[in-house]
Amino acid sequence: MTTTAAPTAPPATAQPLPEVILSTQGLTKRFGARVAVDDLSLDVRRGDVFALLGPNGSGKTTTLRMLLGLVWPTSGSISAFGQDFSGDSLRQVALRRIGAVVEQPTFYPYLNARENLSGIATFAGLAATPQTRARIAWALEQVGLTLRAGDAYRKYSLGMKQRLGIAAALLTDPELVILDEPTNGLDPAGISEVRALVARLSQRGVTVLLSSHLLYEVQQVCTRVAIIQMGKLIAQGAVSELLQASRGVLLSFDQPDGAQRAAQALYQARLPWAPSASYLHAEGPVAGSWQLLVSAPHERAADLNALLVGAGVTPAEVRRHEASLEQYFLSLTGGAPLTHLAPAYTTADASAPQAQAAPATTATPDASPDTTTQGGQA
Amino acid sequence: MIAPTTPTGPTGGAPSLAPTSVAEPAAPTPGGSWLAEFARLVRWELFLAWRRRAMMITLGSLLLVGYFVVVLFQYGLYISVGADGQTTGGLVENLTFPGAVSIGGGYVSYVGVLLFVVLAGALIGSEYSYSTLRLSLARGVGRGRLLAAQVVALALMALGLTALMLTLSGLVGLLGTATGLSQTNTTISAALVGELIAYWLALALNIFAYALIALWIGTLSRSVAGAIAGPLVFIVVEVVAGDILMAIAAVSERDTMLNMIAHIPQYLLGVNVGALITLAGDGPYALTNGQAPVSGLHALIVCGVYCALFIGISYLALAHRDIVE
Repeated sequence: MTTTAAPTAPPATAQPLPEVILSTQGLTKRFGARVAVDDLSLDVRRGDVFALLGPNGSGKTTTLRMLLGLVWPTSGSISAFGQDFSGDSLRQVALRRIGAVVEQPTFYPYLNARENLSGIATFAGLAATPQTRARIAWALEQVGLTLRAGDAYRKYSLGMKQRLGIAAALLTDPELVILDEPTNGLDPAGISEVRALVARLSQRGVTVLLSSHLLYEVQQVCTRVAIIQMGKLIAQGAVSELLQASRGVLLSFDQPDGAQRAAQALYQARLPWAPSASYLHAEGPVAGSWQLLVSAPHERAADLNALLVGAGVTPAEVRRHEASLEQYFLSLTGGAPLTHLAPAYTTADASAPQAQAAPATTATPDASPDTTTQGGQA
Repeated sequence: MIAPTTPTGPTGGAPSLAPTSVAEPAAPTPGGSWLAEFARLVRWELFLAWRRRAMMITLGSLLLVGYFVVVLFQYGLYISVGADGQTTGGLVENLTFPGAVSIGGGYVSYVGVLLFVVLAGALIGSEYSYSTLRLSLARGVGRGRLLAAQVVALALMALGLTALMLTLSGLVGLLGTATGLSQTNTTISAALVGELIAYWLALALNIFAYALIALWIGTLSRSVAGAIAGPLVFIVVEVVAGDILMAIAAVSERDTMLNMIAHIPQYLLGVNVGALITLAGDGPYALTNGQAPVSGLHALIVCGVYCALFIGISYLALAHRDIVE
């Protein structure tokens, strides 16, 4: 099932969207019979801090490798900075504007950090000028490797290798920085520093495309995300808009049928400000019908409570619910401590609410046209 | 410019990613012509070879020690034979200029090839084993250009190695002449220089051609072991196959099929580079002896075809390959 979030009329003050500087259309990669990336269409806009999320083996790294010209797509197209990637020369010109660290950064183990960055400069077409050397020194300083710049790369810890990878990505002042799991091997302080670094890059207008497993970190720094699973895009959009799907008022009940009765009452009331609700599976083997997540504004929590009490259904707890990106990600990818089992109702329903445990898709009323959710449980 | 927010730097503990006091210099922009960029790539490949010092020193030591063992053996032979009052003309030639050059050339055409393909194989194969190929490709270096830079770097290293060996053996020869081993002084003439240059180029081509096998096998196998073993196996197979085919040739005068097979050695790489070396040194100073089994043109064409094949197959493999590790 593939559903695109219901579009709404753009607000009168809508800003024009920034230009798309990297996009893929129907990007597919097969390794033999295995489909690593399946019909992936992404749009990364200038200034985005864009996260590519997905479980292990979902095709994130393969996607990034295709973007960098390391892996050839089986079908589909890539364009960067308005140029199609299919031609060698255009791709090579575009790649000069990108700084990247893919998977574990790898460098020549017998060279030191300074020499390795000289190599990167050479690959990027830079001459060995004092300006280039100053830039190398600056990049090393940025990642705190100045004191170890003369040590052979093979002597570096994993965290230092990661830092050198980031230095390499910054070397040429790229317009787009691609970071694949940039916090791998870093200690908590290092992770925090990467987050700050990404924020600084974003402040100066650099577009960042990163993949990470650290969803809390992603939520802190990313403006837009794409979630892929088994190579397929299952959601893409602004973080805030994607999380709208799981934002609302959470009702908990002591009675097993409490949520169902509440859903019935809300459905019959047909509240315009509570257009949908989902039974929720919160951590643990709860049967799903003990909690109901109503897509209502937080300030309407008291109204909801009053309505339900009036209908003879008293929630044990009424609270505002803000889903984290991690919860949202896990609910989409099936590893959920918090799963929307099925919609209890939507205002578009013709039938009474049913407690089905089938996958469903819920559209957020205020999602922008830029936000898509495909085939997951939302 | 990245706005400094935290005025911290490395503090002796974990290195920091925080911005520091160093002002951000303007980012350099790619500059220079296509040729200038290519030259920088070639220089980088040479730098990589140079920085593998342990390997360079080991291989260089083996080469030099082996050479001096050969020279000392010749000298020892000269001393012992001379003491018996026998003719020492040939030995004297080998220990004086320019005959000593042919000893150095002969030595580098066998031992030098073996050691050089080890170096070339390590350089080519390690790009895969260290996964460093993606460093260049992800920065916009074209695959063809990268391969071309490797080829040119190998050619320059082959020229350098042979020049070094010929210079060294020339110096040994001059030393032999200066110490009075020979009564005839060879004057440096244009003919001698021409012969030396031709000999040098032929020797370098010999080494280069086998290094291209390292490039070819290394690119296909994506491993150091393959890149090193490939040319060594090729050399052994070629020698064995050449001997077998030569033997067939000796008994094949009346059989058309066998006669055709007997001509195959004329198309073996070793036979043709050997022929070029022989022809190049076959001048007034007789740096080489014997007769080339094929003409110079034939040898040049065959060597060219081999080199083109090795490079072409490597390019096709690299150009269509996914760089996944």
